[in-house]
Amino acid sequence: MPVLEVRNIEKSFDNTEVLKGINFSLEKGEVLAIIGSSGSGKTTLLRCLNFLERPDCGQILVNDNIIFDAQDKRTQHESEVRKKRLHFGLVFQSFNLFPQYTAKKNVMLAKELLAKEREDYKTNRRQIKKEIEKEAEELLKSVGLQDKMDLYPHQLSGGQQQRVAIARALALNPDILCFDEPTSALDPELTGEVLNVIRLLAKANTTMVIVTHEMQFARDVATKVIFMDEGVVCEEGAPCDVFGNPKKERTKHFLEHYSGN
Amino acid sequence: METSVILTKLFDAFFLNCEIFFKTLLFALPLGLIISFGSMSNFKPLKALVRTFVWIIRGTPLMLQVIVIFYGPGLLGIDFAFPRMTAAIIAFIINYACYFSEIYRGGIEVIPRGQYEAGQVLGMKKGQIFFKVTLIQVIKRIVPPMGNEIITLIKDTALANIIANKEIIMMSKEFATKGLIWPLFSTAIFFLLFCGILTLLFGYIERKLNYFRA
Amino acid sequence: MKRTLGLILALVMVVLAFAGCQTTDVVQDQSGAADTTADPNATVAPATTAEVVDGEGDLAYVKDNKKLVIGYTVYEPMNYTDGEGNFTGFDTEFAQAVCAKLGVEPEFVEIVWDMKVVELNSKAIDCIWNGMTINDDLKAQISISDPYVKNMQVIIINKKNAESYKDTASLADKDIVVEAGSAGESVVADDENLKNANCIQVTKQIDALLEVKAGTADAAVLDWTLAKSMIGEGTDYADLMIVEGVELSVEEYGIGFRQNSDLCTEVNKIMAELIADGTLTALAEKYGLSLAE
Repeated sequence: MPVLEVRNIEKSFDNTEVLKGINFSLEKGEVLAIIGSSGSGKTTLLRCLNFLERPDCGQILVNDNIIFDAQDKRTQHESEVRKKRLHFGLVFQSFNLFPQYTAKKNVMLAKELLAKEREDYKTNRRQIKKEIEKEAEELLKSVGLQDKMDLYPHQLSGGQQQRVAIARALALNPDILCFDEPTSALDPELTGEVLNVIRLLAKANTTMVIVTHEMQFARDVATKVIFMDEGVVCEEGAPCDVFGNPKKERTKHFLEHYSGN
Repeated sequence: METSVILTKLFDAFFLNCEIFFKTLLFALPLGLIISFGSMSNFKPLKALVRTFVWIIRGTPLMLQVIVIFYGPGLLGIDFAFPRMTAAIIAFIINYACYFSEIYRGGIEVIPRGQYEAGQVLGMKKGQIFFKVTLIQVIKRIVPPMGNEIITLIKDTALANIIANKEIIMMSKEFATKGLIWPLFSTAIFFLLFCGILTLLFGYIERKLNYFRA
Repeated sequence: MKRTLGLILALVMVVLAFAGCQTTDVVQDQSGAADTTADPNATVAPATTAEVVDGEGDLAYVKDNKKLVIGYTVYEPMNYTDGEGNFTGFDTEFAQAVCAKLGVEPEFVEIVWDMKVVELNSKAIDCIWNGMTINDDLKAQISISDPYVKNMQVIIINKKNAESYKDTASLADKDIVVEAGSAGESVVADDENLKNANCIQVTKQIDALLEVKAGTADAAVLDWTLAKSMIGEGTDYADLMIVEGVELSVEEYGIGFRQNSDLCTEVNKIMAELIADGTLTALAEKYGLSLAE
């Protein structure tokens, strides 16, 4: 049973077709790398998965449940969407940490707010808060930031901020963790620490979808690669096939261009 | 006339300036927020209406607005008039709410989209995103321009005397017609002290919000 | 939208027009007001807009309200607060007497003098009663009562010179004494003949009279009300006299009402009664004023 299945997703902005019918599926524990040139639609696809954009057409299934259907308005209701988002975590290119909170509070905030909806919140408030705080500390430790927990985002380097953002996304235990070019906004010497964290997550069998320009990294970490071009899935397969033996001309051309750099 | 008597009268008159100041703030701060939401509305006619209103209010002198609100109904043949202080305060509230709304709008619009999106993907509700994520960032950004505007407000309160609200400047001019000039100049001390306190207050708030960078 | 905008614009223009009417007789003390009222275009409209507000039913209106709202500014001796904190003055007492006869309560409202016509036309006040000098500009905008107080500047000379000094021309090259900063001083400076005279400034009016009495000056130019009370029989200055027929800078005070106000007619009638029974004369004496003839 695939944990994620995407069926025929289409999306247009002002008469420009950005996604022209995307299909793929992902098994639990798989790491999908989406590559392609700028403007090929990778980021839009990721944003569709997180409901930051509404696809014009198509379906999204998680664990065989249809959580989004462009034909079915009931699946698009705001309060419904909010809960369904929790299947996905998203790490942004520009981190988007909340500047007014410490690293730890950034990780805790969403969970605290969700906890308020629990029935036993009023009676067990202290207990619950303590648990959430402990989990946040554990998560920050796991991304190597045990001694930065009480610092504010502006006191952290870009790499550290992105690691906080990863911990924040993990705090809600998403089924699928998405990365939108997680190292593009970082200085080259800081990308390593972030990629290492993602490698560790891959080892721990976290299901991930990673949009990236880091070809070597994609080849190392991914179990599956999709090459997108002009809004369609141009080539799909195991990393060794797509990178080592691309079948399509366009894939070849793209990879040559990248290795040439 | 004795100096102490004159000072007492000036104090009493300055109380009027303070009344206009505080009542204007009390109502204009929330009203400005409502207006700013209107001016950012996705419903185009509402947005156009609100922005036109803000343009008219910001584009005409406050003194004229005070005059229009007090004399307007009577001149149009309507048998109704606000009391003088009320008319002045209403004009001030409307005028300042429009200025505040533009400051709010500026503060809200510069918050990066990513902040809202980060809240959304973490499953937060709209209200939670506003109160827990963006509000304090907006406040941090609007404190300096708000400080400026609020300091301008206390000085603007003197405009209420155009419809014969006997605030401190009008009172001191009355002394001037009796040959006493120092009360007029001494009003500067009242305004300076008031602005001094405001400046300290806003400096304190700015420092308090300095713990993060937005 | 368009209609609201039009209404607001119309209102703004009306206000500008009213403000424009007043530029001639008021001292601008508000820099902001000066900006709007100094606009030469704004003075084009007053004649037509002023007629919009009609005071025809004012008498009934005031009687219905059971009060007369009187616009004033603090101005001694007309309307002011005395040492004991009582609001008094010639106009204050005069207005109270008129209201008593009208059967309404007087309500005194302090106004900004620049705004008096707007105050009146917007019905914020019912009359302007504050030692208002009657002039043609005002007459074009509002109804004004019969003049009730008169003031002017007069020339005081020694009785023995009565034959030599009969007009200003005869004083053109003489010594004239005035109080520094007084209305008399500006009259001398502006008068075609007197401006050529040797003008001596003293600090007190009484000193001016002393100079004339002593013969160190040929004439003094003084406030009429004051002069009347200080010279003549029974005073130390009985040897001085006012040059007959020379009335300089004459001003008469009237009460302002809305245009065509029937209230104005009624107040004129009451005023005549108050003059007839001596009330007004007594008041004038109390406050050192002279009634208009």
